[in-house]
Amino acid sequence: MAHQILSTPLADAPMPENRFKIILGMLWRDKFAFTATIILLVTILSAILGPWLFGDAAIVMNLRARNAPPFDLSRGFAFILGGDSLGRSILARIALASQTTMLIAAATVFCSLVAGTVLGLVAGYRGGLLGEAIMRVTDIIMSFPSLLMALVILYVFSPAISNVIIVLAITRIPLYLRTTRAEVMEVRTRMFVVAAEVTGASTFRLVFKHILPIIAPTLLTIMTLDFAFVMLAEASLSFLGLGVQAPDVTWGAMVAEGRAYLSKAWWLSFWPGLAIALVTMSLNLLSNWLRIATDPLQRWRLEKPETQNV
Amino acid sequence: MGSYLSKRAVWSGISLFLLVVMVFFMARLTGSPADLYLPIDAPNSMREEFARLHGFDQPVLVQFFTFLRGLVMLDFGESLRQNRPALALVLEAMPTTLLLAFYSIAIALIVAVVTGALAAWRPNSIFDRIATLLSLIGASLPNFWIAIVGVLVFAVGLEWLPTSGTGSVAQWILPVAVLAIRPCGLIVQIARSSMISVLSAAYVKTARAKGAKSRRIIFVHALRNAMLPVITVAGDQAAGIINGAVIVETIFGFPGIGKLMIDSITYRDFAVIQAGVMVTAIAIFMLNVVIDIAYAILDPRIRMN
Amino acid sequence: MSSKSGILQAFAITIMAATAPAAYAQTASIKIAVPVEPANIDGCNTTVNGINLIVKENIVETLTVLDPNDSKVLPRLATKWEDTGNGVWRVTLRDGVTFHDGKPLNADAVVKAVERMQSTGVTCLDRTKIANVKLTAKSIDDKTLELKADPAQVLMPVFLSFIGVVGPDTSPTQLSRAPVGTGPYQFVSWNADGVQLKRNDGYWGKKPEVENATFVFRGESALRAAMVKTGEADIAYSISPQDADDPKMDKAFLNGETTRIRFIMQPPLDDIRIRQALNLGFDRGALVGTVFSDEVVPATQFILPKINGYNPDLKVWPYDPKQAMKLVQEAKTAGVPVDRPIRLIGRTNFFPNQGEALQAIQQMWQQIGLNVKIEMMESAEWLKLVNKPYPAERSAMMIQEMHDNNNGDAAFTMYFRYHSKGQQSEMNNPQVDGLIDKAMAETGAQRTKDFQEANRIIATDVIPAVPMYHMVSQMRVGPRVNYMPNALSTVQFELSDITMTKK
Repeated sequence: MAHQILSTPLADAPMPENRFKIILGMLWRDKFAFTATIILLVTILSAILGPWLFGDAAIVMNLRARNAPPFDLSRGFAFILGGDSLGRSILARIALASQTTMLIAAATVFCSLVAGTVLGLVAGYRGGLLGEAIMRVTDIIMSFPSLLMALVILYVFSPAISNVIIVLAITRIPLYLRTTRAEVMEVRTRMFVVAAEVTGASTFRLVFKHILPIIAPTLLTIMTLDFAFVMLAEASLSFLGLGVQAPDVTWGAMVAEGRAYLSKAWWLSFWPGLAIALVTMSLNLLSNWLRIATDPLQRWRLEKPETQNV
Repeated sequence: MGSYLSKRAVWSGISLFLLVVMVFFMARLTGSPADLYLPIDAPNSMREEFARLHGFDQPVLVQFFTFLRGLVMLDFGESLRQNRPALALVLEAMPTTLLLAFYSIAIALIVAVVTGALAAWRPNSIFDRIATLLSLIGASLPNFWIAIVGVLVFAVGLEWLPTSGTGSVAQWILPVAVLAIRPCGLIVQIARSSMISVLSAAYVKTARAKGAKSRRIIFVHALRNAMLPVITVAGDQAAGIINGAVIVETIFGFPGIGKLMIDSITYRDFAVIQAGVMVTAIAIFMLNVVIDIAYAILDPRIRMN
Repeated sequence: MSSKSGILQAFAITIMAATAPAAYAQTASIKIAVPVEPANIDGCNTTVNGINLIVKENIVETLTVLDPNDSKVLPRLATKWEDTGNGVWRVTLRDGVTFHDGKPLNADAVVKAVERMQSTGVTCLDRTKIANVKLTAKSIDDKTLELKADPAQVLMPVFLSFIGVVGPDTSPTQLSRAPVGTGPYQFVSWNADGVQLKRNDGYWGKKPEVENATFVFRGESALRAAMVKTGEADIAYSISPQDADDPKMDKAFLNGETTRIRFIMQPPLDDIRIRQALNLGFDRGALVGTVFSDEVVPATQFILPKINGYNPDLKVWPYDPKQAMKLVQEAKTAGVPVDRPIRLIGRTNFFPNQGEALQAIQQMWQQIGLNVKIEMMESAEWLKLVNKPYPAERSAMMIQEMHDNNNGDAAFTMYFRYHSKGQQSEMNNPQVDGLIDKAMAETGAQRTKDFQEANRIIATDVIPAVPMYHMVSQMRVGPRVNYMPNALSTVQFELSDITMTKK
């Protein structure tokens, strides 16, 4: 990771005036990242527009369309992905579920990222008794299997969306915390940080200007993967009967409900599962691209059109 | 090293104690076992009698001190459900889960580090793209889903493997595979991105340009540098494997700690929950110590102080 | 096809041979897949689901048994019983019966079993069936004993079917995980491979065909179904409707369970029009053959037709959303707060597809203009809501319930659910109280008539619930064995009834 010693000063180099166009161009050059962006945009759009687009198709049951097979347009376009066990359009339900799914995943990842990074910085940078205390609390969280902890907490409190978010966020903090701490401890020993410390740079400036940018790429990767983890953990809770409760619905809950029909109607759990996989993949591809695009040593891969990057 | 370990042990002891206290009170907040053990048409007199018999009629603090007294003697009390010492139940279930976890993590780690490192050697190559795609799919499938599809495909459809059970080697293949898929997918990603960082460092680039022989040395050297985040994530996954074990053991009928714990949570078998938490926590603490030691070996700059 | 299944079977046997070499060496060994591993298999828990399948009449026998079809009391370990007055019954035991440990079955052994069941030192759950009755047993001679019930019980012959006669050496303080009884099967082991039983060659009755039986525990319906399909198991319990896709193997049977949605009569549910509207607005037919098996039967009351006291004149509520909406409107005009949210409370893991069923019902009720919200609860939390003492402040709730009365008489349902003193009763109707009190002390036609009348008043005048269905269970039976489930198969699964397919 020695290159980052060089890269940090360069990262602040002024960008040309038409940034948006350049970013778009860089995105266009990485076809995978481009596709990923489109998928994410579609997801966000469907979360916003879904209910308006499909009306009641996601909610109104129709037992005659129960487990209707996919790719059959006789029931209308809404049933292109088939119908679920109550005859509701799966497409419409995926669109509806994307709201709650995104809300839970984003809120959970955000909360655990912020809390984990801050505590990790403190533990890694300050160390001492406070650092030790933070690490031991982390140990407590980590040593109780998160799914079981979530179960116990959801037994005590009702399985509302907010509680699901809190429970999942708590169980995810240690990963960010430990990663941040490990990286901070490593970065601290580097020359430029030591130098900055000696010249009397404020801790705040040191952390935000020098340390955070270096650990950001790793956190970004973990974050995108965690997005998937949260969706899946949520699905596991649904599998055990304590996830999001009807009429709220998430992709994870749809997979969990559909699993009972796997031998008879695979599409019930396949499509929401695919949605989870697609979003995860897109986030990951995008974060890869982002890492390259923000790394001055690798950016050339995206800047010169003649470069083969696939 | 010795002083590090003893200090660590003291701290761990404190957190273990806090954990057990937390679990004790949390568990009691989830409701009374008397309701669950007795049939729904049991009269209240019988519920009271049951509570009395098992000491649930005492104030929680009194129960807590009784519990602490037992804890000193490593006596967690008796399982309500099975009328056997809770600790014995947990220790009986532990080996199954440990084996399951060990096989899964070992397979996941080996497959993932090799794949991730190779993928990072030439980022965005075809191999990298395919590896990334597969690992992401692996990381984004719920394990209960993989388990059921696995049974339908390999046991019912192809008739290659038995559906469930624990007796023979064949019966371990599906559960281990199901448990390994997610950690494997994740570690591929981490190994890859970490390896890319290391490989794009200036000194590595120069060395890479020099030729095949040094290329191999660099690969090994870089791999070593890139292992830090991999170890973190692998450790996290190993600790988290109990989560997967809960589901996998429930589905495949494995008598492991995951199944035991979820059953005891469902049935409010407090003694078993407490013993189970204690034993898993100790296992995870030990795992963390191993991880910290691995850190120190991989990166001598992190001193153990 | 046949060669394929032959290979399959050979494969399955190889696998099984690896698991339990002794048990699968012969062909008369079978494996049964059930959903939940029981906590114990004690002979004084023969009325507890999951335990009874393994232990009742297989390992430990009861004094009497009920006929699965008409609930008639049949002799088992008791050959004769007569009422000698004052609540005392004289019971004659079968001759030539020995326990698996070699001890003889005599009056002393039965007295011991009765005492153990009633002792407070061990939580015998069969006691709940005779909860408010004190039973005292006294041996008269080797094969005769007297059972005194206080207060006197007309249903004593049925009570005898709750008394599992465990071996005299059974621990008086611990629930057994290795029971000793007189049954046609003997306990062998209980470990990671499940619970193993073997045939008791010293059995007093007819020698069963199956020599070894293993119960294994698998939580997922799809997996249990797959086990029978691949030949790893011979019988799978509780297959959900969507997994029951093979008519040759899957058998549906009424399992004695009845479902309903109970009203907590707080506004707006305290208004009878709303309760009627909820019944009229529920399309019972829509869920039959879709969410539920096509063999479920819409219910009119909380007991099955085979139970004494069932009122055959009651009609299933028709589906009439228009009338329902009208009733809601009427109530609204009369000032009933119909817009107030009503909690519809479900319990997780009750029966297959219940989540879907609840969502469907909720939607039907939304359509008639009521504000119904689903809440799923895990059993402990759910139990807090259904048992007295109720909290002082209760909101309008509808609670999903399931009840099994497999004991032949309405008494096991009526007092508990409908008497004002009943522990889960929401009612306070002096007329119903009177009829139940009266019927409990009666016998014969008058008892039947009074229970029927009580059920009529409950269903038409009080409406404390939305009756749903008499439920069915689906069992998958593999090609190696013959077994026809009966109405009691979920609570009493006699391995002796199973025969091996002749090759």
